[in-house]
Amino acid sequence: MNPLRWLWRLYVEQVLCFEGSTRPVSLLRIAIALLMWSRYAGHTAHPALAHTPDIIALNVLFWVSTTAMLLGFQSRWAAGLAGVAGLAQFYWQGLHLGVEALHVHHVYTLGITAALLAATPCGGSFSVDRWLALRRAESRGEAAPPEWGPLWGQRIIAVMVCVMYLGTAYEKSYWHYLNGNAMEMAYTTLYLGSDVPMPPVAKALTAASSGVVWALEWLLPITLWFRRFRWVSIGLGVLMHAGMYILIPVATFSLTMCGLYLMFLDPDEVHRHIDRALS
Amino acid sequence: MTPPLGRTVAATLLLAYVAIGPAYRHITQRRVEIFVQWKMFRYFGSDVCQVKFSEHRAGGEVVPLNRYELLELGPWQEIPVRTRLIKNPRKAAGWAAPMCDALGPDADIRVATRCGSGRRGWLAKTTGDVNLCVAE
Repeated sequence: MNPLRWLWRLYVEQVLCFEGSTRPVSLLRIAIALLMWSRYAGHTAHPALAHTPDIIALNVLFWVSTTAMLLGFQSRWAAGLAGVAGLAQFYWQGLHLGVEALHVHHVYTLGITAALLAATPCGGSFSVDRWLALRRAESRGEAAPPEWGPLWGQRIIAVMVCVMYLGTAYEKSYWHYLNGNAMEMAYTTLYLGSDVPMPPVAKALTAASSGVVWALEWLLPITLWFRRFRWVSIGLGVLMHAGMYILIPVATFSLTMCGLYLMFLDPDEVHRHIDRALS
Repeated sequence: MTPPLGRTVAATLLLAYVAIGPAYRHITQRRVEIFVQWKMFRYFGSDVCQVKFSEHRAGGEVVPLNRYELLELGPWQEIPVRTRLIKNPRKAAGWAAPMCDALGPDADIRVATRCGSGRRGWLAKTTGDVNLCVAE
């Protein structure tokens, strides 16, 4: 078969026409709304810190949209507007106004994920939208609507995660990262200070862990797509992000990444597991 | 199986933004702010130095110096990070003045410094061949 035709067919089948249970994207909707609150609450989105009309407007948009997103009310609109607010914090406040704390990857990741969730039926489960749909169906004497929908947006989020890993792996592909020097500098800054040299054992562990992280970041974008390797990949990915969360100040990034692994799971399998857990 | 046209266009544009955008920046190294380049912690720790203070005694004996002990700054874990970190060789030399005072006249204190430089690793900045207690 013509490779281009094969690629197009794969794109149509696995992305454009991909459908399934709405539970994974709904769970991610809830997780992202909570993580956005966690990242911004008491920080730049706090009303007491807003002094100019643009920031006040941005804060109103942020709080209204993320609240609706969390509850799942008009979920797609809410996620889209939360995405606009998150990306405005990254591009407008962070890049344009120079608020360094907001021009960081974990802020962008939250914003872009919320925006992409608008392309998914993220209010199809665990939401006010779902509750209203059930009530409507009940009053009309109809069967409960299925928690089912087109999930091409889920695939795009998954591709974004892969690109993220490939980009970071590519950027880590230099000798002083692989031999542990780069992380030694980070640990010197965070923990040791300038006078205390890193003990040889810690140095060896740092070099080894740098190599493992580098290898995982190249491998995960491939292995996460294969059912056979998926759970091992997710387990190793969670361990890697947990290590980063504990050792370096990555804010909400680790938890966001763990949440994003939901996008690689078979939606119907997630649905069945939740049913089983709740029965 | 034919997907709706609107979905095909929207999905393709979004996919291009999330996939090709960062790759474009990585490959071309051009700064297009709308695309995010996934570079994390690239410069983290690049403004930090490791220092080795030493006292050179008459007769050629070299004794490592602990600035926290010598200046009675308190236990390491209680010292603020700002004090623990020396960011450049000039700051390292600046710490020598109170140490020279603490050791008394004729002290000979030297410092070897290597500083982080991002992708180029640790770079030696001073090798400890200058007596910092002698005013230039």
